[in-house]
Amino acid sequence: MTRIASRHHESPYLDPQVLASVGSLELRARMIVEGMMTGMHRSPLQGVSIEFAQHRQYAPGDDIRHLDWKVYGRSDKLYVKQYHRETNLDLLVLVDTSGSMSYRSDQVVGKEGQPWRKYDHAASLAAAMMYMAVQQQDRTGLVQFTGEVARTTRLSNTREHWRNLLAMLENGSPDPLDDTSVEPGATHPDRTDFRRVAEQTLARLTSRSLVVLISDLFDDIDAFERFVAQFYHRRHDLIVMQTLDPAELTFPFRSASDFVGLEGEGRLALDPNALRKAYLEALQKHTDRVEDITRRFHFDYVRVNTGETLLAPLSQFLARRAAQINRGSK
Amino acid sequence: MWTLAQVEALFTAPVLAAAGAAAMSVPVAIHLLTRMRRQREPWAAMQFLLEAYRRQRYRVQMEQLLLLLLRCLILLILGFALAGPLLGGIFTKLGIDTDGRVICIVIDDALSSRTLEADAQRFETLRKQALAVVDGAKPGDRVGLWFAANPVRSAVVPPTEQLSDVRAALESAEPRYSKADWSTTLRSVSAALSEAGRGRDRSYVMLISDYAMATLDEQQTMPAEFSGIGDRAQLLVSRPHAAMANTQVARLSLRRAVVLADPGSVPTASTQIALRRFAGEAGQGVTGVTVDVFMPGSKEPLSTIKREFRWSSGQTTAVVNIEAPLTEAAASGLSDGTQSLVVRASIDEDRNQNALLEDDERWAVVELRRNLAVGMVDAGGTAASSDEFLRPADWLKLALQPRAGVLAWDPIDLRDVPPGDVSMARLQNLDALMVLRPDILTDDDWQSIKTATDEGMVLWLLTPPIDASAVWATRLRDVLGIDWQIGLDVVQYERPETSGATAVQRDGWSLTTDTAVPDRLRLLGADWVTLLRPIVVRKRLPVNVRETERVWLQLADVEDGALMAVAPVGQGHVILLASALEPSWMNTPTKPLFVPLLHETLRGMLSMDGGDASREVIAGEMPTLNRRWFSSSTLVGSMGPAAKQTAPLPVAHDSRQVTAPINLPGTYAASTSRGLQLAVNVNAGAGDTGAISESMLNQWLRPLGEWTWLDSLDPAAALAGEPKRANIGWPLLWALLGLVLLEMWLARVFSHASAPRRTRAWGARFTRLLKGVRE
Repeated sequence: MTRIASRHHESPYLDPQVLASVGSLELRARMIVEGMMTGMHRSPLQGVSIEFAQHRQYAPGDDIRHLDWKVYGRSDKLYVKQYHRETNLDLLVLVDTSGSMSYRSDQVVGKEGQPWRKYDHAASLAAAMMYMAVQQQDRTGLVQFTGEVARTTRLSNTREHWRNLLAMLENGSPDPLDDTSVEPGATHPDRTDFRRVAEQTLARLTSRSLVVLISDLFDDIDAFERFVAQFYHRRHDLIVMQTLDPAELTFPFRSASDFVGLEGEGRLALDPNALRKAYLEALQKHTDRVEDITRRFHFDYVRVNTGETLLAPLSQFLARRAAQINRGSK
Repeated sequence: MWTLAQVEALFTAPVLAAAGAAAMSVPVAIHLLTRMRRQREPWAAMQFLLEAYRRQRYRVQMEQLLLLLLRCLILLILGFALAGPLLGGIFTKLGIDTDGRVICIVIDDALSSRTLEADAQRFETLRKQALAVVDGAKPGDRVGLWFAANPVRSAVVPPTEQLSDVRAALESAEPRYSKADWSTTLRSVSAALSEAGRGRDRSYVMLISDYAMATLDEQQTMPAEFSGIGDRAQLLVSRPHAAMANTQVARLSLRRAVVLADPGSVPTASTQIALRRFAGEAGQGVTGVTVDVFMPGSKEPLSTIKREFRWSSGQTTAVVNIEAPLTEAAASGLSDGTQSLVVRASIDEDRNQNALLEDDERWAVVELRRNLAVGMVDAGGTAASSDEFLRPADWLKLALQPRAGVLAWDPIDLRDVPPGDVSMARLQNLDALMVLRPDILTDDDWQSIKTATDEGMVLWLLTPPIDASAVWATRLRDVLGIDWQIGLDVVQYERPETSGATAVQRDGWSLTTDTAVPDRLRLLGADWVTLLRPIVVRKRLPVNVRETERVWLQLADVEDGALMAVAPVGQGHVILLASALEPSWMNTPTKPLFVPLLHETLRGMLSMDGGDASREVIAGEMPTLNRRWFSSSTLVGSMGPAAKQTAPLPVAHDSRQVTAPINLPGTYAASTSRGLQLAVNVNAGAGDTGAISESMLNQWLRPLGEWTWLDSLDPAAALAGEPKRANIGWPLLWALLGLVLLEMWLARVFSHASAPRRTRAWGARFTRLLKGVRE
């Protein structure tokens, strides 16, 4: 069971406002991972390998099964044994680069006013997770998709590969499809299409993998269900991280505005006050449905608020990864 | 379309109301501007927004519309509340109209209002006063207009807010020739007041009249039903005008309206002209009196007779008798046996003594006839009679045609009408029908007789010389509707027992000589008593007539002893002779009375002068014409002021009543025949131009209740004291507060339910500020 520090011990590096102020994605990823490790009492990254690595002085909270009793007998000091593990985990991160991921609200900005898009949040999260995987010699890969898979990489655990992934994340920023000339509700060809993404992604996966989907999931819920089901039937593990901006969760607008869809839905002039309740109900219904579907297939679902720290999604990731390692070791 | 004045009646400060109305556009403008200048908001979760929008679109639109209306209403009410809305004006516009006043204007357009004062008729002064009152009315007030001359003209009733209608009615009005009918007028005014249901402070009755002496005729006393009218409305009365001298032709009487023309002589119209002077000094003076005889429609008189009448000092009434020759020309024109001629009597008077010109002439129609058509119903030779005595029919024929077979011309055209065949076809052209044997008439005969009598025929019923029960007499009640008490058994005279040998012994009832000579028999007046004394009645039917004036011959000292009585039936008359023309019944046929009685009765009944509505009509009346006008559907003005009558006056086909008032004096002819003429004269009593004192007026008006004078210089001053009108500004402000609260609540319910309250937000800011200060 993975435990993480309580909220008041969270690292500032996990704070989106801090991350938004950092220009380099690599640096962000490192900061996230560092922040994640700070205050951890027990790491899932050690302890389950078969190749001895080193001794470390015992600290309260360490599993006593890993105590080296021989050393204790000799020196009367408590040391735990650490091993190099041979991993069999493949991590594939699917990052949504559709127009909706380009959304950013005024509620999440850097300390110097830098914007923080949902994609920035997703990219940082993906980079951090891939960094941790590479650190553990796990193979990792990246898929960026919109209406279909836009870019993809092979699986590798080299640092060079990780840097390539970072470059890909940085270059793969979503473009908003905010065309106001179309009728409200129109469907754009570049809108997220999970059905095609699932088909294209699964075609590339040859072994059981941990798949992390980072998206706002603004798509047809039935298509998403088929997406999850396909991964389930192919015996992959899946973590669904639904990335939402705080403004999307609260709809804080007051004055009448022209709302322009970022995935080519056109323009809608309305008074947000009048529709807030109905909108929030619709959104809540959607997210609940997403969570239900995910849970039904025994996958993890994490709602990622881009205005909050990255602790929750990363913890979820690590817990899921630990569980998969355990399964693999058995 | 509202006028500025109408808006002013609604508010004390109409400008603010207009501002409030204009401010209604502010929310609309804000709404539109907001739509035009919306902020562009890129949005990712568009699918949920669209879903919410589709689900809530109509509700949101309705809510927004409701809020918009509410906000507009708030601004409008704010403006109205500050503008001081007047409850009355608003209710008036809403049709509830509880605050508008009711102003009833009554103008006396009777004959006396034609009196000239400084070369202008009094009516002009009255009209100006009424117009000033109308001008003084405020928007929302209702004004009604009555013209009081007979027939009363309710020109604008019920009272209306359309003051232009009232002005138009006033400006087009002309004074009439009749007398004011205050009873009918005030009855209508009273009804209008009751219908309006206003209190006294908001009801006005303006009686605008010259108050000439003619106004206070004794028959014009205020009915009790108007008592207290001054308590229901503010009664304003114009001041009486000064007296003006007036001389008039009060009456033009023809001794015979039907003149039988003897081919060998020139007939004359025997006229009697009554003159009268009103007001003025009534000093000595001369009045020229002229009688003209015209052929109908002709402007040139056939004959003209002039006389001068010298007034004595203080004399106010006079009668001038003038015989006007009808000329041979007129008599020779009797191709169809009848010729109507128009007689006009006029006066020539000094203007200083005659301020009213319209009553200076009077019209009459004289009918020149070759003879009268009289039918006779008898049983023929079946009636039993002795050889020594003439039968009743023989007596009658001898009396009516004394020169039969001697001369070519006979004034009475006597025609036999067989009993059992008394049809309308036979009766249609008869002037009179003499029934000697009413006992043998059939039911159909009686019905035909009734119809003919209704249409103007004279029916003379004679008692048959039969001792049997007079069942026929019940027909007088059953068919003709005459309510006399008639005994059905013949009563025979019985000589009374006398003890004194000196008493004069008579063998029958004698006639009383105490009663006045019947008007229709006035030509017999000089010999009336002499003619009556020889009459003795031995057998009779007992007849009791309550109306003594209808009994022409009455037995002395007998209660049910009406020998000859007359009753009007329809437009005709019924004459009953309660004894038979038999010497054994009465000796009348053998006495000097018999012939003149028959002729004068027939001629008098058929040629009634001024009192006969079928011959002379007073202006303003709607007369019923007699049967000789049967083919006339309209009347057209012929002579005098009536010639100005452009529109023909309609006559009802069935009743032959003129269905519109005949307002202009003069003569009228049937549209189908120029021969028949109808004379219409002014109401002489309406020409009394004497002034009444204010005390007399006060006495006259006392039954009406409290009243005040109408200011002749500023008649509208009475309306200046506008009744207090409630300002509902404060209630509106309270209503406004309620609306504002409602708007806030609705706005929160509709749109801001999840929004933080401003107060809460401000509180949070304040808390942060305090925290910052502490730190």
